[in-house]
Amino acid sequence: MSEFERTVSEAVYPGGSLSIGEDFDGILDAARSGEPWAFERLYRDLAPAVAGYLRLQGAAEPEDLNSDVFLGVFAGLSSFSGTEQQFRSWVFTIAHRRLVDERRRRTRKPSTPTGEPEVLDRPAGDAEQDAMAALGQRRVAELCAELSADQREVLLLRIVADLTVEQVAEVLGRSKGAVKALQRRGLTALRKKLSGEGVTL
Amino acid sequence: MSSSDDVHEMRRHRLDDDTAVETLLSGEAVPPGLEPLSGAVREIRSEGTGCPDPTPELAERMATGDFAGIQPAGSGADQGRRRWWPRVSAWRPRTRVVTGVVAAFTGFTGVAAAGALPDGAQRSVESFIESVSPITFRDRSGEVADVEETETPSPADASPLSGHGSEPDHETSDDTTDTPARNPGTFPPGVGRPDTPDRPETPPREPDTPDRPETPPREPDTPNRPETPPREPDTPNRPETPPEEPDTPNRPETPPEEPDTPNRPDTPPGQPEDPGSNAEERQPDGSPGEGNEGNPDRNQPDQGNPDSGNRDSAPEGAPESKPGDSTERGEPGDTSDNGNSDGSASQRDGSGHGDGGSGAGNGGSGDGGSGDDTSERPGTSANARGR
Repeated sequence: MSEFERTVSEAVYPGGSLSIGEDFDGILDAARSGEPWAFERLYRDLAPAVAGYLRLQGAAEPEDLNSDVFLGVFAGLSSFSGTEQQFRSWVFTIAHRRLVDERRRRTRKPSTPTGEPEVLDRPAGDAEQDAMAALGQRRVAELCAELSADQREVLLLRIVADLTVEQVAEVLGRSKGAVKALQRRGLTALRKKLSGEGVTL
Repeated sequence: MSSSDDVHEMRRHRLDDDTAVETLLSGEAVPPGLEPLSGAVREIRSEGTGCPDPTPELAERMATGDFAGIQPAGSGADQGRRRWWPRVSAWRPRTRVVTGVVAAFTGFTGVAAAGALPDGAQRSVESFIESVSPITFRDRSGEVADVEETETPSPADASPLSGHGSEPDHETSDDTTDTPARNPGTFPPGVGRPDTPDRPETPPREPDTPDRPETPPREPDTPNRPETPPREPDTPNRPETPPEEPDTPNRPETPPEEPDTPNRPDTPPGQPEDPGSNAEERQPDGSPGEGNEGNPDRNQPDQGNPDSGNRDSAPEGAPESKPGDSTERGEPGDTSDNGNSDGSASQRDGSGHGDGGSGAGNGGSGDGGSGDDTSERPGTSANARGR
């Protein structure tokens, strides 16, 4: 295992947050110069959150859309300058726009659902783990179904993307007050859903 | 309140607290009341942990570091451009060129019309646009010249309005013309002067008033303005009015009108002239001529209604009692509107008193025939009554 791979595998997600830390500037410079390992590192850091955000937002093909997002990110790295947190916000801004574009395309060309091809495409693994993962995804999908589109957007950017209120406001083009109000209402709706079920997670 | 309600309230307040929300969303330890919600947040966050495999294209480009040919992600402006650019790029080259030229020409025309270009560029663009299009730009130098021309005749008036080229001239002329339009009969002499006694410009203005045949058609509309029709015949006499104007300067001096009243007897001699002229003019109309004949008889101070009489009649009967009335009238008469009110009052009096009304009308004719006119309309009834 190379040092790069070890670094990636040792990535810690305290509280679900991803961070490269002090190495970010060097990695960004390396990616700008076309170093493959730098692209890999950036992708490994951000792709899980981006894919989760796209999936929970109801993207038709979240993985393809995720790759499309990173193609645009890597192609436009030369135009970016800022900190790691700003880079994160920038990546999710692109993801949000791609998601909106994808929704528009879908409304123009509605396609009939074809079951769950993702399950078929996945390589065989631990059946128990897969089942638990599927249950977890369904559970999360049910929770998100209780939220309005705006509330879901805000909460997913806050929870999955780990953005601050200000960053979410920038990504969505809303005010901070509106973001706070939406996240409060979303949490209230989630709590109402949980209390109605009588289930403690 | 039960303990369960208290707990419920506590939970609600905690969720309303921004700090509690931030703690909840960050995945840190939360109060027991928010544990279920914290678990749901953890579940949601877990959805963002699995790293998806990149598509073959992305994997290949990441391996090579070559992202050429891919639309880079940019700002919102780029997004907007991306939306309309494909449409434009689908146009023919000729269409693009024509569209660009039209857009540029329109833009330059608008900027030139706004005068936002530097002087040199402004002139060149204006000349170009004027040469290739029917559009003509207003010549600013010409405007300045017009301003100077208009200002020279009336420097006093132009001072407040000098900012606008020809407008001040229009306004001043409007003032003069408006007032006579209002008081066609009574005010021709004092029209502009009561307002501005210093105006020597009235002669140039007066030619303006005769040019207005429009005022008579307006006046018949207003029942209060019976005087206007007489005016029309008066307008030819207008050239005579300027000599009468020296009388009007006394107008602003209405308080000293009393000394003027002795001068008023002069007006009666003037009246026969005017009445004559008016009579000639009226004869075609008929009744007014008769009214003039009766005037000399009834213009006597006794018969003349001080109320009904215009300024002319006022001096006749006024030297003693009317000055007060005349001053009252004269003071308001300083303004053209007041003059109108006098005229209307005289008409009312004339209509009410019959003979006196005719006398007043004759007196009015001395001023310019307008008084006759005033006596005509109400006076038609008044004369009829007198007779």
